[in-house]
Amino acid sequence: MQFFTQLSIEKGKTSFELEKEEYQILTQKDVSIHNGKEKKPKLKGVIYLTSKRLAIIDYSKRKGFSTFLSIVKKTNLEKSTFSHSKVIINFGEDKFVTFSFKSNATKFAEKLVETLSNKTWVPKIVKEEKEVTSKDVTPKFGIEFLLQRENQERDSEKKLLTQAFTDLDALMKNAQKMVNIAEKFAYALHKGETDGGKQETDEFNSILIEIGMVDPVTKETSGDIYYDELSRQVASFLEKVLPKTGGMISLADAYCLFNRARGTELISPDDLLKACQLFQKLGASMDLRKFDSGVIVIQSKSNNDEANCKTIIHLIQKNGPISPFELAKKLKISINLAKEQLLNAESNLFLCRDETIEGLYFYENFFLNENVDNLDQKNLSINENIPKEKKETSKKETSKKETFVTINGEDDEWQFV
Amino acid sequence: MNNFNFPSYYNLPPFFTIQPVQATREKQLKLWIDLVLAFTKHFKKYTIDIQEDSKSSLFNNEKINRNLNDEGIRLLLEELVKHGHGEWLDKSKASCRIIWRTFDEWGKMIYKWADKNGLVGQVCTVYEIREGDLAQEEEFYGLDYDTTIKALEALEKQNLAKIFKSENSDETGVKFFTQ
Amino acid sequence: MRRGVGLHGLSKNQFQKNKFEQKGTQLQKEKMKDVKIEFESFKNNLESFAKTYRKKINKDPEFRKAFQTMCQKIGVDPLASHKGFWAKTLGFGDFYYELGVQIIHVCGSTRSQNGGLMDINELKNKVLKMRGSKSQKIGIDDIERAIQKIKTLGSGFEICKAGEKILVKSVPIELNQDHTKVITISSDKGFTTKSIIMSQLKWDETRTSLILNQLLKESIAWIDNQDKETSYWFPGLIKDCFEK
Repeated sequence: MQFFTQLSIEKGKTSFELEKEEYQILTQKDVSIHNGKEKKPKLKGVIYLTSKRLAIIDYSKRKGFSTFLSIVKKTNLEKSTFSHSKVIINFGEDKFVTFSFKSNATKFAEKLVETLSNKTWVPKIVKEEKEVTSKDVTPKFGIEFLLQRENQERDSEKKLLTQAFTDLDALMKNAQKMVNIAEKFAYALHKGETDGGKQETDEFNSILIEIGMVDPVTKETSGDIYYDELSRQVASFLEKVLPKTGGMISLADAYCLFNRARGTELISPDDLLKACQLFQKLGASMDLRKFDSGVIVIQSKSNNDEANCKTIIHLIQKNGPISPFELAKKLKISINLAKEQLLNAESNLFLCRDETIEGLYFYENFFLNENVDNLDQKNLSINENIPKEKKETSKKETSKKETFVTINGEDDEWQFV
Repeated sequence: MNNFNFPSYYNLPPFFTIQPVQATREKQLKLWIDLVLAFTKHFKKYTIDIQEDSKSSLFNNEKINRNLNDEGIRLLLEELVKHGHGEWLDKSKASCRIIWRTFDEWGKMIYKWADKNGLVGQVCTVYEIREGDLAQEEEFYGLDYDTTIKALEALEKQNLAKIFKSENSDETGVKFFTQ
Repeated sequence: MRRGVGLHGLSKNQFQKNKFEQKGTQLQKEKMKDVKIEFESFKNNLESFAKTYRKKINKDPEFRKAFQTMCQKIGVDPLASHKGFWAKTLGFGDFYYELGVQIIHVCGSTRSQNGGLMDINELKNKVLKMRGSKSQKIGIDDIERAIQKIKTLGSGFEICKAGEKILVKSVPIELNQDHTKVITISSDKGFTTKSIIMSQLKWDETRTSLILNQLLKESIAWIDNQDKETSYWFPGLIKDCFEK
């Protein structure tokens, strides 16, 4: 009986439970099942032939056996005039069971043969792939049974997967339709060819965010109220964080901290960037700032470059030339930020660099020493230009062009060499 | 023979060349410190002598034919000392005591053992701590004398013990106090 | 600088734009009403799709990948905002955004070892370790998409290709073609030498030294001088380089 699964039937049940996509073909009562040629039956009851299985159930004992048609190798009918006719189900290598019918054995056998040849258990879509059937495979029965079982499951999985892709495809076709209409409208909006006013535009922007069309023809970023609210949340969160990080934090770190604190309903990187871009508009106590290298930071208004420069110079005066690595250690900030601060100080002409194999080191800018003394008078802040006369002398000393960019959803402010 | 599991970076050739770039070197030395501490702890090795140990498998990976040279070893030991895991035993900096646990940590461990074995409130000798039967299973079993004393001194500072020095170092005793 | 995997949606929209500009005057006045109708109808479609496939999208990296690829083709970014209905209805927003956090964390903690350049498979393994054995399955495609998103944050996250290998850069340094070439020829063994570079890439000494020194300075390359010729090793290319 190794090819059969034992079934236990619920009390009160009088029918054979079918699986998904399985349908009943034939039943017959007064049938018994025998292992091989054994005289004593394992069970007596009702036999079921379905599109996938063969089962026999004794409802009084609430027990049954079932097997998969896919592993049946062949079937024989043994007609008998004097005793019950038998249908032999052969699983190969002399392993078989006998069904003994009180009546209608022939009819059953015929139907069984038909079903087996139709291979009704194979889902239509992947039928082609299943051409290699049990007929060809050399039997190793215990494993064979399990493998077949696995194949059954995989096949139904495959069928589901194919279905999944079909559904996905259909979904995308619909999505494409929607995207096309949205793009058309976006373009019309851009050209001023629409009826509605600001409210309509806001509504449309909201829809664009929901759809995820980030670079539509008009390049509309949102005037969405949602981002105002998020911006406030981010600002209030960072207000507590910035004092601990020396007044400056990279946008990436802010993303991690904010989302970790949030726990669920995390925000996307684009969400965070958009929210931070509103800092100035909402009068937050911090600014979004992008360095030349592309590094984006959030800087507390109370932290300014002047103070940072002073700190760095103080460290250099005390300990000698400093590298980003060392500065990072001293200020307990990331190497990225330390490097940016040094580069910033360099472009403000406070430092000059020395590159060796050891690394990049910064010294006080000997060449423009008066800078240090005039620090207070010059009243430097990031939004002001350095006076022209300094530019000429600095050309030789600073080795690269530095650009300052503040992001407010607008273009660059100024450049200087 | 105790098998020591070398970390994967032990088989990385550049690991045995002191890196010229500062940032890289700092990381490299950190990894070396981890390795040295794990190695000396495993083999209960309390000192590193540059001359003697330059041939040790710690600094020599025969499989990849790489070794840390004397200069590198000295640099590494300097780092160990800087981080509180080492103590130079001589002015010429040829030998270094390795402190794989700080004295505080040793002290805690010894106290815990004393507590577990009902020795608090009693006097026991340094010998018993270092080589006594009762301490056989302990990590500090076989700990060198000086380190043991330093560990007990750390406990003294916390008022958890009092050392009674004797001329015969083995008989130097310590009394453990309740917390 | 080598371009990594990019959103095709951008160029597609450009094409669309041109198409519309050509049609120009033929367009009638579009109604917002039509947009809304189409939008609502699609949302319904999405919701039924989600009823059946939400679980699958979250469990099956291959299905997820197919989904993402399709979205890209039609010009939508389902991960642009957590307010996007894709993420909300299908429930994978948190998955990608959390993955982003984990990637940033792993890259940050290994930066001192590999200079901020590591093999994407290494990254995936380390992220998996972080997530624990019971968490969702993730595929390389998931990692790539998460990185595309965190690129926006400006800390230099980028996918780089070096020969057969896919590398993840997590530092704001510029890797130009020369750097990439050197890394590519080292990707097989994890190291290279000046002579190998000079013979394979046909460079002169100056150029070779320049590039190697730059890579050394960023801690991307480590030096080994105990062989006949100095060799330059790339921990980011070597599997489990610094495991204890």
